[in-house]
Amino acid sequence: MVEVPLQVVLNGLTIGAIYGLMAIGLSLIFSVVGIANSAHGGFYLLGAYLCYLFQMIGLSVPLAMMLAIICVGVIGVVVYRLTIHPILSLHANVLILTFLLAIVFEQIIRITIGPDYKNLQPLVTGVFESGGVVMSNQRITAAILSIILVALLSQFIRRSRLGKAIRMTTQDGEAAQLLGIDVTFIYVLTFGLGTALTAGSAVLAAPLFTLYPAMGWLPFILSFFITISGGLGSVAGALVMGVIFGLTDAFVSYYIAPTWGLIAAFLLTLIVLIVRPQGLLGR
Amino acid sequence: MLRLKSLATLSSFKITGLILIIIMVVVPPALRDPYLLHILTLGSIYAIFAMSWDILMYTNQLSLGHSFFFGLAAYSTALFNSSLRMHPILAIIAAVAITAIVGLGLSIPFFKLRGAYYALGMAGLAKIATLTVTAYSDITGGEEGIRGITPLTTDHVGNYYIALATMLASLIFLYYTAEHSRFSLIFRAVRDDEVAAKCLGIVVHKYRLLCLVLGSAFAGLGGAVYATYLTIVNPNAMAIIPTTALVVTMGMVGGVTTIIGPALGAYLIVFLDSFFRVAENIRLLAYALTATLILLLLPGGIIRYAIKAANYLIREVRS
Amino acid sequence: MPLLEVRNISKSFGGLKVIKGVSFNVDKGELIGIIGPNGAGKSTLFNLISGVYHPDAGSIIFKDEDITKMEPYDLVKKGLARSWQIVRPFRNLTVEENIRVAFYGVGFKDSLSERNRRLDEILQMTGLLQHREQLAKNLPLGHLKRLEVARAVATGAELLMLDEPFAGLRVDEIKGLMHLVTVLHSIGLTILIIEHVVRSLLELTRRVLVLHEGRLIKEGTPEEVRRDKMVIEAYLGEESEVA
Ligand SMILES: Nc1ncnc2c1ncn2[C@@H]1O[C@H](COP(=O)(O)OP(=O)(O)O)[C@@H](O)[C@H]1O
Ligand SMILES: [Mg+2]
Repeated sequence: MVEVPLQVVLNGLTIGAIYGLMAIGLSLIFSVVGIANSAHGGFYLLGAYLCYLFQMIGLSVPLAMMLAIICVGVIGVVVYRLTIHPILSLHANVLILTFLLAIVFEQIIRITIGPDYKNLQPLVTGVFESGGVVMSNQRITAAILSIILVALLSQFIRRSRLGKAIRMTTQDGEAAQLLGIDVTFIYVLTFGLGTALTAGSAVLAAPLFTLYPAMGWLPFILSFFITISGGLGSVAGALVMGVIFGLTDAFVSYYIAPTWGLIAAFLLTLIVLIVRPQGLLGR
Repeated sequence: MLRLKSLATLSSFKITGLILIIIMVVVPPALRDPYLLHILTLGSIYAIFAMSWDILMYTNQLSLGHSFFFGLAAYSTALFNSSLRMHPILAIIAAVAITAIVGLGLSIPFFKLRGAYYALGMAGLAKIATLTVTAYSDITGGEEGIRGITPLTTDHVGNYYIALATMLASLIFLYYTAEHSRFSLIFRAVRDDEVAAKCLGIVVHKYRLLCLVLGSAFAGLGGAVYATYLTIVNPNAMAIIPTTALVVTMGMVGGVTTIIGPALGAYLIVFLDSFFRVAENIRLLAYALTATLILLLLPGGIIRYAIKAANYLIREVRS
Repeated sequence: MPLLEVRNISKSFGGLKVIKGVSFNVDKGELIGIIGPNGAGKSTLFNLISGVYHPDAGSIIFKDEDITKMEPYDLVKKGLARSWQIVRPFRNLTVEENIRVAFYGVGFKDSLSERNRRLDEILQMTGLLQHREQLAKNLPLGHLKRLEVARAVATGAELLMLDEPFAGLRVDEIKGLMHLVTVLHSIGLTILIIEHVVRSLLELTRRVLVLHEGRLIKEGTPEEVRRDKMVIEAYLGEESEVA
């Protein structure tokens, strides 16, 4: 039997939890509003860079994170109401529109803040070391917070009145309308919530990597693959698929070469997408 | 959905087309401006690429990873030429054949995917392929790419005519296939309602397959000519940003499912590009914003207005 | 030998059992009505027979051939065509083009003039002759319902399955369409026709099947059906009743 280094497993699990959170924002919008938000990576990017700006003007790290999340949520609401909602029924156009929006965000960041790499200060510093395992505290914190956020979200959707309205809208928009639910409001709200969650994943994950204007595309495609292969709208599925993705990435990176980790993980999810478009846990 | 036929009478359409072709054949080389020729050559190459993206839209296949085919052909051409020492023309032919075969093969996994699943499945494919060519640096040169591809000719006018002729042949072929062949009625029916079409006996996946093979082959043609014209290729040719972003912008600006629209869009964007060279920094932003506005305000693209203007001019001239 | 045999088919969507072991036969030349309250599974039954969905269990035999797993485009070529309750015209095609799609789909080998003659005949028969050049998206519902029938007829099918062709129409429009159905029946087509209520079927057919919660609960003449206790109960709670 091959001995599996604990480090690799933990690397995979932690990054997987973060990937899961990245995907939730996309998944929520896709299942409730019914659109694949190609600007997902753009909101991720905005979250990371706004947090960076707030840190630059001297705000404390937690405050900068919170503000960035709120700002992105608000931007999400405004962008949705002004551009996406008017053409909601034209699915292909929405896909293209959000794709273009992602480019707009990326270019705005590139022009205003610059194309070079930036670093985001982590919430916690230092590294954890025990039994031969080394891991940055930020990574551990990000993973734990990701899981907490995902759990909170699923409780919110399951328990709260608003959550119930969201679920009803997801199942049948017309019926929800008849029951007096303001479907447009639910869509706007969900879009704001989804983009805020995306920003949340960005401020947690980005300190582990570096910031640059094109940083959003990988999380976007990754999120889409994780969302679909985990089963559309399935919060648990996203987390499971995120971890599978993270583990594949970690193992291939360790045993073959770091550059092949992501490629292998993508291939795996692409195969799941093609073989089971309804998702791994879907019926 | 926009139909060219309903906007222009056939004769005015043909006359305008003929005049444009004559202008394109005669005027630019006469101006002896190498930079203008360069812009128009690039425009022709991107026009082929944009039309290849558009033919997929005829059967509801929105690809957000179309740069995959463009880049695949560009890299294949480069490798066939530099590693296997193939003559560039042979390299182009082989690259197009490979791209078409890959498109044919992809129709199997993409058979069941629709809408966003299809679009983003393609995007994922482009992303994986871009990561792969960047990682496989022994063969592909990594970020640097491959240099020193043998050009078909080093003469500006020669290159211009090669690109223009390839573009015109592609345009005529794709336009007639999409709009005037026995398939065109079926494409329009499939676009409106795939299930209803199936229930009237239309084997929808055959037509999707046809469009995917044409779309990949012509994207490959664009990519292959691109590689021999610029004599270098790097991962950008395959990357979603900028290459898929460009083709989507060209298509949206020009007008989707018209073939001619995206070709016009390609020239327009490449032209704007040359103006924006002074402001290199904002060019992609400018295109993306333009395309966004056109999508929201003029969803048919500029082709609709171009045809109206042409009709008007012809009427004026005649009277 | 029956033209169509449906043998004990079932279908679920997710956890919801929509068709629960339905069997019946259709003989050549019959005109059969299928009624049932909303959500009974009538449209699903047509979707299963026409190959849009495939049953989870059971089999469907058409002209002695097992068609259970066949795709809609193959079934049309075998002579089985359907219309849609919620009309699905090709909106950006003209009436005439909509019908030509059906010609193309079944691959008519006839000469062009023969096809044009057939097109005119169908347009004439369905009363769409004056509207042949109009885009489907500009047509009122009454015309679209007739276009549904026209397209199905254009496939040259032997068995026509019409899903609520009269729903949403005015009385005079229903009359015209009923006449069309009678004509189609009289020229030898076998017809299955779904209706929400039995009333419209009274003058059309002698045989009605009643579907309720995915099961066939009754079969008989329209008069028998509208007096049946089980059938009346099935419709209780609906604002419109059996009659
Ligand atoms: N594609 C589908 N997915 C999920 N549920 C479906 C689908 N098609 C039909 N149903 C459900 O099956 C039941 C029967 O529907 P239908 O066959 O349309 O009834 P009817 O035509 O008799 O009114 C309904 O509860 C409907 O919601
Ligand atoms: Mg029904």
